[in-house]
Amino acid sequence: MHSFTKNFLRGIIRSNPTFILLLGLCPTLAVSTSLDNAVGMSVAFTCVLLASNIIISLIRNHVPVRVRIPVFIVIIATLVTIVDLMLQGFIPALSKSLGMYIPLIVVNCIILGRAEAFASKNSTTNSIADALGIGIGFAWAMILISLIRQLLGTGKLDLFGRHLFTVPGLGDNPVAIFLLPMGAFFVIGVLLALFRWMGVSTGE
Amino acid sequence: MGTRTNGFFPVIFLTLIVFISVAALTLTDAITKDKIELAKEDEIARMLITLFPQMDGFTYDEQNDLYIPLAEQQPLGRAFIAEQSGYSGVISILVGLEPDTTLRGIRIIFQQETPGLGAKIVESFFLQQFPGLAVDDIKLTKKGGKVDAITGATTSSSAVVEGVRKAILDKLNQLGRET
Amino acid sequence: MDKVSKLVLSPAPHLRGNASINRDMYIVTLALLFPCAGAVYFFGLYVLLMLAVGVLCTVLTEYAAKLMRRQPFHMDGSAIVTGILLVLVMPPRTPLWIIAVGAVFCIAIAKEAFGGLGHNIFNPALAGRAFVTLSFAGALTRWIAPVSSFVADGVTAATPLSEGFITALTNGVPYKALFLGNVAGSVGETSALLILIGGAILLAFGLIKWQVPVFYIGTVFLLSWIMGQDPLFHILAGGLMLGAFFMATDYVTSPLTTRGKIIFAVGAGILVVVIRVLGTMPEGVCYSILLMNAVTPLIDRYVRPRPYGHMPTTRKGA
Repeated sequence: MHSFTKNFLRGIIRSNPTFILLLGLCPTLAVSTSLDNAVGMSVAFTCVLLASNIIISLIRNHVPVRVRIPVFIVIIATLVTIVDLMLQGFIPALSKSLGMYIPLIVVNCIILGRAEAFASKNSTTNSIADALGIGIGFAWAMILISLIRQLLGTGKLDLFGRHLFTVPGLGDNPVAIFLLPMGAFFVIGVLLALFRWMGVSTGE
Repeated sequence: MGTRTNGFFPVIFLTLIVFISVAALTLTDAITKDKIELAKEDEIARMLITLFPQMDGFTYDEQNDLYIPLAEQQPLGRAFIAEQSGYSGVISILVGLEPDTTLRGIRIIFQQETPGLGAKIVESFFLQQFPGLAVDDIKLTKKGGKVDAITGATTSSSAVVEGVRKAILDKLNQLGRET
Repeated sequence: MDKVSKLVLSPAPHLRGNASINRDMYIVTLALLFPCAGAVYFFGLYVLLMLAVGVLCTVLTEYAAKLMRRQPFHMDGSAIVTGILLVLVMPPRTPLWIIAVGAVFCIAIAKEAFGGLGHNIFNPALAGRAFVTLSFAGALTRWIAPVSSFVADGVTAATPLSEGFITALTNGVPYKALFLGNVAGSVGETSALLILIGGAILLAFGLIKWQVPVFYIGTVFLLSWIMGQDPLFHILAGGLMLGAFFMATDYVTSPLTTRGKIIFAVGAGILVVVIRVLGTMPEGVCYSILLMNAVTPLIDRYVRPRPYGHMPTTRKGA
């Protein structure tokens, strides 16, 4: 079980997909406008990553090298479409606010990256550990970014329709730029600088 | 990874994967199709009921793309969706009409305008100007109409107003031709 | 700065000239006093308060940033110039806290995060202005008419470039008011006359090249004329004069060579007219300069001076 724990922990901090590997920034920038979106996106993303890692690690010994990338993409695209249809059917409100970014999980380079770099070379157990670790790493990064953006951009904190609190002074004059894409760049830039300054260096 | 990399095996393998994928998607579609339809209808019903509070159901007129809210099987008016380019992206607007052609009211279904400025088109202080307007009055005040623009967001306000007016005129034209 | 048109290379020791960042920046500050004085005259004493907050916040932020980066702090005046310019492009009744936020952004993000003076890609004052415009759009779209008395509140009025102003014109364009500055607008942009005086000071001390304002304003004049607009109105209204003399001429964020500067100025001029006439925003000076700032490294690459004695390589088949 030692390697399971190691593979699980690695994705959370040391090779965090967002802050260390700087992968999958497009959905991170676009969707992190509210905490609801961040949670929804993280769950959808982790489901797809987990399923894709499991399937690919199971068939890893049979995939011909020459067609491995097309095979991975077909598998990921299928999983994403399933998640998309499920969301539309069962949680329409979340599906609407995440909009086109659910279908775009297909091109999220983290998933194809893990398939190519990890799941196609490791056992199913380790691939599950990897998917969960990367999923949690992605989730806490998304939640941190969206928390900052929501607090600054709207001046209040709402979670799934419930109003939690209003930041004094900011509620009336929110810094709207943080809801725009450039605001996301500022937040990620400052966070990256902060982590480098704290001594977290590149992993892997 | 697989060792049989020559010959037809890769092609056969990929084809197999695609077939499995198609099967999985067909199955998911079968499970979710009705749910998705219901969710979409639900959403329209929720919007419609804010315009026609006494509504207890609605029908969809496919030929004219009209939603007809009903109360005890009697039509209360007509509603349809208008689309217009705003300051950033398309704004979708649900337009409700009384049985005559005056405006029952509008609701914004989808918009991506600037937060804190153009995005105010969804707020009631802007939307409440619309009910009861005749088609020719659906213009901004400075263009001779009866709708005040949102301060600093003339483009977004104008997009809503123009989108609604044009859509009503188009729809009435279309209905007029057919009867 | 461009008194010597030929580049003379000589080995050390060199004589020290009296040109320095300090001296240049204080001359710019002096030149900026004219638009500032006009702003106080047109929009009241509140402008002085805005200037104080703006300059104080830029200088303090610079000090804090240098402290955090463990670098020595020099009072070189560039932070003061940024602070004044930021206030000059703000609406006349901007709440002071917005100016403070803008000033911190100017220095902390637009300047120091890129490496400090000389390394920033974007003009700090304009970047700050763009930041607060996008952040507090509601509070920054209230414009007031000039007030001659020193009252705290002004009468809301349309800026010359907004739709309301043009439709309200009944007896011709008030060129004289536009030239002298007796119209609504940002704090320091309304008076073309005072900006021209400030610009003349910069030119007299050789701090800026005449090509930049001339080509910038000239492009706007020509292009708006071609597009069927009133060219004189377009060069007098809005922030074009201020941008042309004080912002498009920024050493750090504009190309190095004269040829590059001309490309920069013409490009910015085209963008201004395109944004004003075809775009949805009333004014385009701020974004025109920021966009040209972004392509400045490309321009510099393209117009790189040919090393002495270097023969251009002839292309095959040419």
